[in-house]
Amino acid sequence: MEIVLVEDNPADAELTIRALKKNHFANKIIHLKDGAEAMDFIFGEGAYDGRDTTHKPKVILLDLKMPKINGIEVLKRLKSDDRTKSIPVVVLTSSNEDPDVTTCYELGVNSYIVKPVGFENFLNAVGDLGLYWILLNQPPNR
Amino acid sequence: MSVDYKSLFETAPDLYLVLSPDLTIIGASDAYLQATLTRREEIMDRGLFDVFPDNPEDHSADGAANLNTSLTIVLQTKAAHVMAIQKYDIRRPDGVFEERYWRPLNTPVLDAKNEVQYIIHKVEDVTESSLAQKRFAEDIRRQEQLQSELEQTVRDSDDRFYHILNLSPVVFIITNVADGKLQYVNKAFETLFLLKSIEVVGKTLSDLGITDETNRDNHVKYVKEQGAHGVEAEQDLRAADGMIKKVLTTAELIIIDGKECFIKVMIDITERTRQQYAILQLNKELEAFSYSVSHDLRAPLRAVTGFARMLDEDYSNILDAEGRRLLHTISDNAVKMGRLIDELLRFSKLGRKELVVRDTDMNAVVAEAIREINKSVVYQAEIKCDHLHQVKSDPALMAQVMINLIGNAIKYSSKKEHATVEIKSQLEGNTVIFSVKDNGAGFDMRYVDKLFGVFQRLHTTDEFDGSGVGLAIVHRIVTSHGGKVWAEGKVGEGATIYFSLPNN
Repeated sequence: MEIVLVEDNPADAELTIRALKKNHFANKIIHLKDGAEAMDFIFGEGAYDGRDTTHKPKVILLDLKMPKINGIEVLKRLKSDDRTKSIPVVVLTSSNEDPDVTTCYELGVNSYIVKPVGFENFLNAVGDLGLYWILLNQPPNR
Repeated sequence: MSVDYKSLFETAPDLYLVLSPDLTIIGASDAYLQATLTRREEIMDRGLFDVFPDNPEDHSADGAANLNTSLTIVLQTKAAHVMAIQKYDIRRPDGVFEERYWRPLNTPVLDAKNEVQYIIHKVEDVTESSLAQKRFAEDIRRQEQLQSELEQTVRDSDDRFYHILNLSPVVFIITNVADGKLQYVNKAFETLFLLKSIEVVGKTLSDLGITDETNRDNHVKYVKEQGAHGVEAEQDLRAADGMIKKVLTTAELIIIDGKECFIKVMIDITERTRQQYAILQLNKELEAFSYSVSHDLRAPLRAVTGFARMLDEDYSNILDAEGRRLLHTISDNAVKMGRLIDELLRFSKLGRKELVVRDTDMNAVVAEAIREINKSVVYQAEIKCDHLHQVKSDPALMAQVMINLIGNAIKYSSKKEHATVEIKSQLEGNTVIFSVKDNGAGFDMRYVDKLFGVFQRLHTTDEFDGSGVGLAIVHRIVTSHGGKVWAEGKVGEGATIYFSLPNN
């Protein structure tokens, strides 16, 4: 398992997955539909009860604006738990104007990208992101 | 040896006049004649008061009368009589009287039968010292008059201050430092706290329920620690009807009748604070709205461009050239809409941004702007930049202004063979005027008013790409700096955009 994508907007999810595929991360993506599902998955609760939580993703791509549990809350949980705080988290946001980006940095987010409107840019942004975090950034050995 | 007593007498250095008992002049020393501007032959054997009458111009003159009295006393008592200093003006040969002061001594000369034979009238001319005394006395009198006028002025000004204090919309109170009791409150106090002056004088603010005791103690401590001068604090105070009033208090320690007092000035900022809070709320809502707009509008646009692209990639064998052109038009327009949303949000954010003003080297600002423009603009233009004046401004915003203006200049002159952009500044009175001039497409001066409006454009996107926000942003930034923006142009010959900034 390499990448977890937490994204409620199916169109954005499809575009992101397609961009990741184009960058050859095709069979290494898990798409979770909202914050609640993300929590269950990461901590092995609810529908994901019994999942081997020692198996960690190399990076979590996290949308901020989601129903039920939003990206900020997910990030807060991830970064305050010893089991998960070393997993790189990249926040996906719709705009530079997003006041939550500051909050994300305070909570210890590793990076953020603005989802560009042009598909070409989107592809590049996601591609660069994947390459950077998966190929260059080695998570600490545990 | 015989002595010439007559000569001796006449040349004696003092002033002597010799009178017979009937007050006829029978002798005078030369010194006397000289001092009284007379000649011996003119006055000999004439009556004293015939020769020396009072100055008819001086109605208070009493010299003759006083002399007459003194001489009468001498005749009766047969003893010498010293007169007080007399004002006895002297008639000059031209008939004009000269002001003179004398100290006379009248001494009888008695004969063998103890009768008065002569009277020696000796005088000393004390005019000079008397005049000095008189001037001194006048000075004193004038000073006393000034003093009394001053006292009147103080009384008047007390009156005036009293009226000013009472008319002032600002609250003035005076309290004792020792016990916090009110000595004075003005009308504005009565109006703000709904209490009458007579109800409050002699009581403390906490007695009246306006504030609590700890508050006052803190205040006293604070003012004493900080020194006597103008300490400002925001306080919540309670009016008689229970309403909380937010006031800005300035206190100063003064001494009245040897006692430490506070003079406090309070400005009612209740309404102002409420309005500020409302504006703050409004800004927050606007920010949330901006974010929501930017988020919610961009997501569908991403889908449009993204899925158009997918269609293009995955179904290229089905689509012909026209089909792909249509797809590209769809996605180009979606991208453009995304850019419009971004620009609009940036524009609206500018209005809420607080200026961070400091000394700004506009040359550095322009250099930075050109670097920024070169990152994205592909057109070539010769940029000539004069040495620019320094101003006080928010440098980040000025950079935005220059990016927009120089960027425009390059863009609109891109179709010229030799594109030039000139940047200049000049000092005019209290303002510095900057100009950015190009030799590009220019514009029709009839539409100059539309130049600075949001989304207003004078060119089609086919001619020159753009969103119509750039100059609106320039206008907003310059206006928020207290400056003005204007433009001159001619179709086909170029445009000059001017903006002024206050020169501090």
